[in-house]
Amino acid sequence: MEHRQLKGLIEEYCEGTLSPEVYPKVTQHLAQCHECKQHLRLIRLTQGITAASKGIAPPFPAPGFSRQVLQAVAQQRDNYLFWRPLRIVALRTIPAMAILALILGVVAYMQMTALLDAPNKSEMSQLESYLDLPTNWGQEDAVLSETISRDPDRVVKTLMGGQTNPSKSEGKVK
Amino acid sequence: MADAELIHRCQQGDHAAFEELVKRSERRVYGLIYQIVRSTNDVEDIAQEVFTKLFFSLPQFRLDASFDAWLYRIAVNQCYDYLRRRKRNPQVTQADLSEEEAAFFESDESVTLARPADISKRMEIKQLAENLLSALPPKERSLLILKEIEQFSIEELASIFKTSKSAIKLRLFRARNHLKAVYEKSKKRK
Repeated sequence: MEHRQLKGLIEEYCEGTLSPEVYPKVTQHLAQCHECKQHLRLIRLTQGITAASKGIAPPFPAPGFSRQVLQAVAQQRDNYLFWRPLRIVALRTIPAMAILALILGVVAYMQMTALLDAPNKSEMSQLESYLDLPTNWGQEDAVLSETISRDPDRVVKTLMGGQTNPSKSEGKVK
Repeated sequence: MADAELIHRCQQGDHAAFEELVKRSERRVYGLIYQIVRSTNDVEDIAQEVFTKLFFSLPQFRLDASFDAWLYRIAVNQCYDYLRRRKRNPQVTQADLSEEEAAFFESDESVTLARPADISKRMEIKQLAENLLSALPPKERSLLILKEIEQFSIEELASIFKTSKSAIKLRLFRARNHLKAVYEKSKKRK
C-alpha cells in the first residue's frame, strides 16, 4: 500500500475500525513516516481537547418537554397538511423541470452549431449588420491585400502617417 | 421496546410511541444542539423544532437505516438554520493556556479521559477546552463533536452529512488543523 492510501486510513486506525490485515500495515507505516506521525499527533491532540470539553453539562430538558413537542406537532399539523400536496408536487416537478431545461439546452446548441457550420448569405448579412460592418467590407479587404502584395512600402508609409521622406522627418525632429 | 418497533408505531400515528421516542433521545439532542449553538436560552426552541420536524418526516424514514444518523442530521441542519437566521456566530471566548494545561492536552491522559484529581483544575481545563472549541466555526465544531464526543464513525458521519467518506475525512482534517491553530495561538498568548 502507498503512503497516500495509508495516510487516508489513520482516522479509521484511531477509530479502531480497520481490518486485522490492514491494521499492522498502518502501524508499521506510522513508525516510519514522519508526515503520518504528525497527522496521528494532530488527531490525538484534537481528541484530547474535545474529550476534555465533554464534562461541560449541557442544559437539561424540562420534565414536560415531550408533551410540549406533541402540542407543537398538533399546532403545526394543519399547516403541514395544507402545504403537503404542494410540496409533493414541487418535489416531483424539480426533476421534470431539470429534464426540460436540458432538452431546451440541447435544442439550442444544435441550432447554434447548424448556424455556424453552414452560414448562408442572409445569415452573413445579419451578422454583418449586427457587427456594424460596412456592406462592402469584403471588397475593401481584397483591395488592401492586393495593394500590400504590389507595393508593401507604400502601405507601410501610409500606415505611419503619410511620411514619404524619412530623412526629412528626422530633420524636423532635430 | 426496541427503537425500531417504537419508530414503526410512530409511523402508524401512535402519539404515545412518539412521546416515548422523544423522551429517549431528548438529552442527546439537547447536548448536541448546545455544543453547536453554544446558547443555553435557545436550546429548547431548537430541540422542539427538531422533534417536530422528526415527527413529520418519520413516514419517510426507512426502518433499515440508522435512526440516530437521521435524527442527528435533522438536528445539525436545524442548528445551521438557526445560526443562519440569527446571523450571528456563538460568542467566542479566547482561551489562554498555561504550559501545564497545554501539556495536559498533548498528553495521552486527555484522550483516555483521565482527569486531574484537583476539581478546580479539572473545571478549568474543561472550560479551556470548551473555549477552544467555541473558536471554531459551527460546521467544523459540530463535525468534531459528532466524531469525538458522540463517537460516530466516518461512515456514519458520511451518512449524516450526505457525503462521501473521503469528503468527511478532508473536513475532519481541516477542522482538526483549525483547532490546532487556535490551540497554538492560545499557547503563544500565555
